[in-house]
Amino acid sequence: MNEIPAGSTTGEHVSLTVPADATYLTFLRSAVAGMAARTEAGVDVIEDLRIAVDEAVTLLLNSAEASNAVQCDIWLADHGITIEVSATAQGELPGVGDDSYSWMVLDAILNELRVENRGGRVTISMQRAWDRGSAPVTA
Amino acid sequence: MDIKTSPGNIDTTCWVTVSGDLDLSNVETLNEALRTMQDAGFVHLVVDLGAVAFIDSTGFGVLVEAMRRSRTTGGDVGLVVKQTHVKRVMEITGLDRVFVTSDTPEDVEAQLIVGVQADNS
Repeated sequence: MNEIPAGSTTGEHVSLTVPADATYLTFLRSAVAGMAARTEAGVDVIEDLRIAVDEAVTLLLNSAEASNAVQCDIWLADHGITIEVSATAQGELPGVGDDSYSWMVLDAILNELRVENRGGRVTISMQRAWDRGSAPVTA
Repeated sequence: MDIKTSPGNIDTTCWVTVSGDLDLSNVETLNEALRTMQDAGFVHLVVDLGAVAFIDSTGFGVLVEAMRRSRTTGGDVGLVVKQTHVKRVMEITGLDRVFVTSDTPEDVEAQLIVGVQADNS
């Protein structure tokens, strides 16, 4: 499975903070697609990334405090993209690491998927890479 | 998201055509629409996802709930699926083996009827 080499970032980084409200999912999907479109990522990879950010933020929203915000960071690399979404959660995130549909999808379409909980601040880190100058790699 | 309902080719079937984006922000609207049709006596639902631009696991979750409700009354829910990315998510989650699917509502409806007749024979 491809991985984004360490230090291969292009330096392009976008950080977004939106209310913990599902109506902002479409905004985050568009932001991720827009960033990915600046790379060599093909349409299938861009669609996978739209799904990935949606599924990850939906997991956060299932446990996020209503007054909270969701932060989304997107880093571009030469041949891949890293996305982190985070929010202050109430307890464990339901659907993480089990056989939920959302986790199955995330696990299948990403090269790397990690969840961290630091003092109630939950971060879902995702990476997707593709081959240099060729058709994108299927995760 | 936009939802349109219309009677199917037989009186126990309803076609539900969904378009636009389907995610956590509006899945409850679809859930209520499907439940309304089931409460009205339609045992088979043909849900046309052909014009859906985006659907995530919460959208499929609502469709699975509707399928379970229909199956308790001897009916079923089938899906019209055309988009490659929707088919891929269904394959990943195994839902392609759970739902009757096809490219046209007529074909989905026919498969649902044949499936019920086979179960009853």
